[in-house]
Amino acid sequence: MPTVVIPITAEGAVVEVLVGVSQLRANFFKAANLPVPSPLQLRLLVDTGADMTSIQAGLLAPLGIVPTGSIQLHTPSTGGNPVQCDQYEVGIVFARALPNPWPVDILPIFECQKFIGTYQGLLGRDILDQSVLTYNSFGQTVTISF
Amino acid sequence: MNRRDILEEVSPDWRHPMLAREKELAIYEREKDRLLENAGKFVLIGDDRVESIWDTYRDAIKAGYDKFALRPFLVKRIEAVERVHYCTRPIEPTCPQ
Repeated sequence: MPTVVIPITAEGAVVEVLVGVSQLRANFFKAANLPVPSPLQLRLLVDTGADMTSIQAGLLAPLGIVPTGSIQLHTPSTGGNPVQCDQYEVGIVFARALPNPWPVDILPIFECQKFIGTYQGLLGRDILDQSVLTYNSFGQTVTISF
Repeated sequence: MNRRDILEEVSPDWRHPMLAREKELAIYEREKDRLLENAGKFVLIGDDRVESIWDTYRDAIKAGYDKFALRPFLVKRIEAVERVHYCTRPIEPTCPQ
């Protein structure tokens, strides 16, 4: 069972992941003999209060992805009502999972404004729903097992 | 006056910039009554028309790349009432064109 152990810091549990184009988009690039954009190393805060993973706007630009969907989103900043926003599909790899990296081939996400903190996105329940999440207050770690 | 106050003053709709897939969304809304026969599935829209309907998000995205390559397309779950996603952090979503 691939597992990643994340130390709990003052910001919370921040996990390093590789974010790239989805496997389907990568397959398209390969079939067309086009270079597949290199994945980006990003830090995501594990957030059980987010039902969808999000990434800071602008960071995905090197991947050259464009929206392929649209969702309704409600946050404390959306003025009491949900807003319609663009949805992208990416692939995420938990490169530090042991005994082997754990890939999420295709994941719909949305972009948001810059976070206050060292992390660049929120790891939401869309991924956590595929895992066992353990909060170890004594060891000050969060463990995600896939 | 901070950035948000300025934005509210010069552009009250700043929270709702044009969506990238605005045209495809309009097609979805136009065809929604008919599409609801397949509620719960995923519709693929591109080239100004409904292209196909798929059981899974993955299948619909794959069909999108197969059919449209890098041209714009939209994949959307067919729902009578669109699901709202929640985030308890006060993050501000962006909708770049």
